Amino acid sequence: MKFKNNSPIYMQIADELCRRILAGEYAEEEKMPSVRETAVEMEVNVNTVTRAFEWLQQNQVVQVARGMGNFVALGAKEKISGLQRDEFFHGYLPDLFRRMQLLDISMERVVEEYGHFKEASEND
Amino acid sequence: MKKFAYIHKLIYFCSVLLNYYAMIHVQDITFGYRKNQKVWENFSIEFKDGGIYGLLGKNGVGKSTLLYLISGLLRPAEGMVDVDGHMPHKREVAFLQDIFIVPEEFALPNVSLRQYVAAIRPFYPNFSVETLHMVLGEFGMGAEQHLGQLSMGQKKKVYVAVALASNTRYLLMDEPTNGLDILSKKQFRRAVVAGMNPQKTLIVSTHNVHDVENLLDHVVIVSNKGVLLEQAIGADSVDLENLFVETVGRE
Amino acid sequence: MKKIIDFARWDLAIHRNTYTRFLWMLALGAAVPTIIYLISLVYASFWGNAEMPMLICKFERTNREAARATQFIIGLVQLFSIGQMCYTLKDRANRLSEFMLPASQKMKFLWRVLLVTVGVFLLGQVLVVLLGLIRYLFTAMFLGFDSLSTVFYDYDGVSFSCFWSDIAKVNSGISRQTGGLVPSVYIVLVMMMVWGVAFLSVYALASAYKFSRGVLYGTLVHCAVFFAMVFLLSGNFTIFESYEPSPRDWGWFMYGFTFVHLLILTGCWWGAWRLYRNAQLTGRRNP
Repeated sequence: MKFKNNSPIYMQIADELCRRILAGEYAEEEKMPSVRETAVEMEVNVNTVTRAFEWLQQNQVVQVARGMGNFVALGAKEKISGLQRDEFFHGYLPDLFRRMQLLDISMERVVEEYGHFKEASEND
Repeated sequence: MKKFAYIHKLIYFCSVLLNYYAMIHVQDITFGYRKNQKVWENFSIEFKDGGIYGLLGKNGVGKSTLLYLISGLLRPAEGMVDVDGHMPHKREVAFLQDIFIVPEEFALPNVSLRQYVAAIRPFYPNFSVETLHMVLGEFGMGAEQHLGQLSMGQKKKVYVAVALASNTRYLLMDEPTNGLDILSKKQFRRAVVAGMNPQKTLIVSTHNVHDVENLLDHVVIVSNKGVLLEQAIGADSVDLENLFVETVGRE
Repeated sequence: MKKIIDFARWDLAIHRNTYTRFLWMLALGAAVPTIIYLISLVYASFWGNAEMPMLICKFERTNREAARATQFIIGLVQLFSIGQMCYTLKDRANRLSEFMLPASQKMKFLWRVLLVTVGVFLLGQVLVVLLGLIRYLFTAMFLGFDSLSTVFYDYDGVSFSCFWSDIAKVNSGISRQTGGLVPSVYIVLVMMMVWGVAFLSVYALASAYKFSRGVLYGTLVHCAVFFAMVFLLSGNFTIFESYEPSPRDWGWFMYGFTFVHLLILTGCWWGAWRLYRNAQLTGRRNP
């Protein structure tokens, strides 16, 4: 897996695991690959993966069963969608708004472009 | 040299008292291969936590020499090296059983892997054949090999696998990714992650930062003046390449 | 006990090629006189000249100087082939493997000592017996069983090489001269000394340390002196024809000789141990 410089590695790992859960690769209430297996696959330090799983657990995406491993939590998909929506509103949008200010682009213009985009995607 | 014999015993005693594992202490060492050419002068460094250390530095700064000094293959002209209370150059059995070095140039005999393992196994009490097979698996190699028929890259893989399987507390690797192609470097990373555990301390010396950057718990950057930087890199994304260039450039 | 077996097993497994090469060299060196003899057998059987093998044996018996010289050369060749044994320490990567192997330095050194002293010694004897047997066998094959008595008539059974018979002569000669003053343990000491010398010259050949050259020359000289002594004592007193030492002189000479050699031997072994114990991965001459 290729890592970028823009965010901590453990976050990128957590995002990737979330992507896999959403895509159905790991089903809800089923055992996920162990921390070590994940670390080997992604070629990263075990502690990094541990931190990623901790973050996922804190956000109720993953459930840790003592001595048995990490399981995809019930309702993880919804949780992830919720988290991604949060990120959209708290991370992505402010960035967008800042850019709009910098480039002096109005909201009306954006809504107009969005209208065109919707038409085009409906016609496909 | 004599006064240091007391100092290193004192350090070890205190560390045991404070329940702090005095791991590898290098104190004020001076070493040179030739009379007037010193590689290390009044150099000190410590590796006191477990995990994976990246020992980074420019080519030719003396990283190999440092690893040899830690493993007892070389003796410092002045100063002291202490590993868990042992002086490495004395080559005590208890010390040797806890350390394994993968040098840049190594020798593997012209025998089968099975015979080689049978020969060295009695010397490493914690040797694990399962770990050996597992790591070889990560390298895409089976257990039945004849060492004489392997290419240099394959031999290196076997050597690394044996090092990880010996389950020694300290593992030193000197430029392990040198000479490996891109696929092999990937395999190497996977092998190291698979073969490491919290009881081991691995020091990888390299000038190819990219090869190991995501594996490291700590990074140590050295120049011949001394330690330039020592940092625990957690799970945060640290741009090691930039850090390295900056640190070395600043010097 | 188990530890030294483990180390022996490791050493033989890892350095199999070096030791095999050494074995071949040692064997070939010792086999040279036998090969000459076998060629003479072939010549004898094809040209019907049974005189040749007999002549060769007679030559070896009567022409002591030639025999001694041959042995000296063979001895040097064998010394060189013993050097192959410590070749393991010549290579930097091999030095690394040996130093890092978790066994005590004393153990590793002891194994090398045993290998060079007992190992080579036993090997040498086995070779000599084998070669003697080969001579017998081939003589019987080529010239028939009846010729055995004529060809070997002056030999007392399978010859344990002229060298050994010389030592036996030296010992009996000394006992005769000194009226039994010098004990035959002298033979054992002499043997130990020879191989100690061999070992040290071997280590000197292999090591990268500055003063090894001095050690090397010293041991070669020592070796030469020893052979010269044997040469003289085995009855070749042509040089000392006028001088007939008294038993007391012999006694002093032999004891002094033994003592000095023991001293040198102890020094050699101690020096070798120091070299081995303090050895670093790179010496001053081989960074």
